Amino acid sequence: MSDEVRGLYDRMVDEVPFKTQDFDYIGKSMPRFDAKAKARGEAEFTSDIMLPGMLYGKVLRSPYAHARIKAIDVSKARALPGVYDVMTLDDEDVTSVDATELTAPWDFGWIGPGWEEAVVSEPILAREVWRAWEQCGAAVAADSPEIAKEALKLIEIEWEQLPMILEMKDALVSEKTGPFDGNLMVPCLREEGDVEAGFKEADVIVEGKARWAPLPMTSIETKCSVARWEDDELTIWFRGQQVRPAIKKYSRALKMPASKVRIVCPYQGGSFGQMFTAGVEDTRTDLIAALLARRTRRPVKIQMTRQENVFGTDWEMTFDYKVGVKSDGTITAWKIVDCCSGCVGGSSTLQAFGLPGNWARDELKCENTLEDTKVVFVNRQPTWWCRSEQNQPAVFLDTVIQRVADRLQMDPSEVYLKNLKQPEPSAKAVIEKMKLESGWDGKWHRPGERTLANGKKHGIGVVLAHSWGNYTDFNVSIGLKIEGDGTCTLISLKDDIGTTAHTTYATIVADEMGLNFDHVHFPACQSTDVGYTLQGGGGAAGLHGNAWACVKLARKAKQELLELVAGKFGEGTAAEDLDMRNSVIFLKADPENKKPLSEVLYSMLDANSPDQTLTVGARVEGRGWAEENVMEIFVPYQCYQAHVVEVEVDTETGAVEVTSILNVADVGKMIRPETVYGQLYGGDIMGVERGLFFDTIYDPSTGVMLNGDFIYTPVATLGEIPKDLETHGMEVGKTPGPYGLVGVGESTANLLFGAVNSAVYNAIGVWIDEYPLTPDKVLAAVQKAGTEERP
Amino acid sequence: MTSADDAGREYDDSARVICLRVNGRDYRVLARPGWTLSFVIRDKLGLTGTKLACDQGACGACTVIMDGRPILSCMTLAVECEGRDIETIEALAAENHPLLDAWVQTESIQCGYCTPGVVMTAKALLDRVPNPSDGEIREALAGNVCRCGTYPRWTKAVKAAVKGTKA
Repeated sequence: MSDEVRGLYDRMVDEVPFKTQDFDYIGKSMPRFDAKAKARGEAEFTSDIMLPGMLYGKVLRSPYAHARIKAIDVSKARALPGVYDVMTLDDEDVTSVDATELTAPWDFGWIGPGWEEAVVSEPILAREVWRAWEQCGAAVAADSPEIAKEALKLIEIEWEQLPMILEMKDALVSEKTGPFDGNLMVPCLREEGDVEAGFKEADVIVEGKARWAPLPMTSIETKCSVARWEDDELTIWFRGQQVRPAIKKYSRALKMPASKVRIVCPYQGGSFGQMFTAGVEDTRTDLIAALLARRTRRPVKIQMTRQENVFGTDWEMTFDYKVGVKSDGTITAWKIVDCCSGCVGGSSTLQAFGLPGNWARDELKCENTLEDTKVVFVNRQPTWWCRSEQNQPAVFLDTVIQRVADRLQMDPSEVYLKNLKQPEPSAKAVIEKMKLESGWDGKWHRPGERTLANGKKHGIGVVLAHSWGNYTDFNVSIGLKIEGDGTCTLISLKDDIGTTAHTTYATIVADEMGLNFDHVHFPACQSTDVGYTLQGGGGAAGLHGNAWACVKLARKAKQELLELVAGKFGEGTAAEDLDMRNSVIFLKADPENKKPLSEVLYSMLDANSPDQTLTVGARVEGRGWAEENVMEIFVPYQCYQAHVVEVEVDTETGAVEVTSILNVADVGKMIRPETVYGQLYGGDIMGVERGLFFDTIYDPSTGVMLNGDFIYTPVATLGEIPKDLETHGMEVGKTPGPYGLVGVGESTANLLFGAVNSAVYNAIGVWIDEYPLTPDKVLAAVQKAGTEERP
Repeated sequence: MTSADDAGREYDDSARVICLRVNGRDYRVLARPGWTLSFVIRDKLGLTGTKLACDQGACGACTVIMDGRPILSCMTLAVECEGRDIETIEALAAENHPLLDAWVQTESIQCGYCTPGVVMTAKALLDRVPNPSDGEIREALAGNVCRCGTYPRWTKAVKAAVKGTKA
């Protein structure tokens, strides 16, 4: 931990001291609050909201990748029986929306100068479209989805087609096709040390080119908005990851008081970055639903189809790399020249900026580094983080290590240990455990050397990097309400995207406060009526920041509670004389002198009083990513993960079967181990998809993305995942989070595909430089290797 | 039955009352011919435990059991289901079927959106094969998509339910 991080961490610990031992619930997987309701089909998701008189909305989608609406005629759609309203881009409701904040950029501090110019504000129903399937022109509200769809077909539009560019290489050399001044957005050159000197110092130079495929977004519940007005008060049932920021955006967009916008966040059918409410398509949908509801004075629901729902993809990246290395494996210099795809998606494009070299820069000792990044505009789907924005940095770091190891005939794990800034204690422990559990030393073989009895080639690969989580970012707050029977409800707005974070937070509060876990509840589905807000899912950062607030709340509430009941233990008894465990309050000096919390509180309540609860709140100030520009020092590289993959490659068909996965992850501290394991195996399964199938396919003549669904994007099912999938959580390293914890869900999905790639290399003896490793690429590589021999 | 719009374009405006037997209860619903069973179950009968995720028969989230077989309700027209016996997750909840407890105990749930469809597919399997092998479970559930990736728990969950049934 750097001195700077240590200083901030110590200050936080002074403010919020947490338990270090005698845990009652932390480290045990307490029953998740949502499981039964979800199993019974009773948990209410946004898509399940049905309101009396509700209409169904649909938005027109662009058939072209770049075009302008010259004229629009909606008269036939309006006349269709069952259609309540057709709203067009020329209507005052639409033109009066202030869309500037919808695409407000997030400056994380690493973006180069000039990024402001690349932020484009788009109207919520576009006139000029920048990508196929963009929401544009008009929206319809009807009494069934079927009629709404029918009405869209009756809208007549005169289009002016404009030149489109789908490929990054074309965008670099062609005329302007985007809203920016040229297609190239904000190039960035970052050089540290002396790269040329570093290359001279090297014994070996490793060079190559590689490509990262843009991943389609595929959370299972599609984007859905339900909006209702009562006079001038707006309620939106929300499908998203970041609830509170939506109030600010939507109230400003609609030019109404924030106090009259209410957002309800039911259960969420996954997200994986997609529903972050910063991309342009999902915020548009919420506002279009709100406008249709205001015009019709009826609740309006808009649910995207599966095809519409692919409104975000990961960034495509192509890169040239050059690495200088000494014969003992010490990297002396590296250089990456990368190009990432962008799209008009507001801030989204900028997230890629300057990133691909970040992990290598932050994790490796090598000080001679050069990163030359370009982000170019293409007429494709909006780009946004896809569990997560760290895919590109992971690909580059992994490429460097694997290719160096291969060239020097070294074990990749040795190359990691040799070059990491901080190999001990975590990375070393993780590698040891990985070797032990996987039998690595007995299984790893020279590339292409092992043919199995079934005729297939066996391969094994490993990848290592840090567990990714941010220290603490935004201001967060949480409240607690104790009822007269001693049961407690936690109060804070926090989306539930599937990790049962609510159970985790309740675990911390119950443990720190001394409450019986069964007496604590944290309802997942709350609304902005609640004044407290926790950091939403995303960035693997929720727990890292939110846990501080939970500990602080527990301390404060316990103090207030004990002050309240001290008199019940005799005159002169002070809060300091008391303690509580398992919801039983006792005298520290005489633990047998005890009373159950329920009994004490019950006897104190005035049955006629309207307020019979004790309510306490706590807030933790975020340390701010943007304002202090301290992102890099907050990203802790204290906890590592290693993933081992074994594959069987059929050299006749090019098919790759992943036969086993081992995931060893140091997470600092497990609050709720089942959640950690769920993130680990879930991330691994996504990693297999990314390694083997995920890509986006566009029709070159129309610019329409062809595989935005579950048929042409082959998502992994039980049939594709290995029977042998082992996860191990470790608690070795300590990050600056409370209890030493770190985020876990993102790195796993960011890393595993690298192990798939190196396992395939180990099987066939040729690197495949382009993700995903589809059978055609594998076959081409096999041919190159001349390994078509039969068993 | 068709009507015509102002431009003289014809559109299908026929709707008729259909009888559906869902979870042992008879419903009479006014349905248009293009309405899917999933739309009628969710939006007209209010049984929102059945989920809609892909609407193209590719993910299994909308699985219900019809006459003993698991079917994709997003790919089935409601008008085709007259007189059929349909079972949804709400029926399993009402009887507290062992699969539910098994899914909870093995933590085969994350976001939970796919869960009812997976559980219904598993129920259809157990109705047919009371004590399935690992291979039979994998084959039966291979059509259900879980984006959170709870797959490694499913086999355990079905086996736990088998034990629950025997007890």
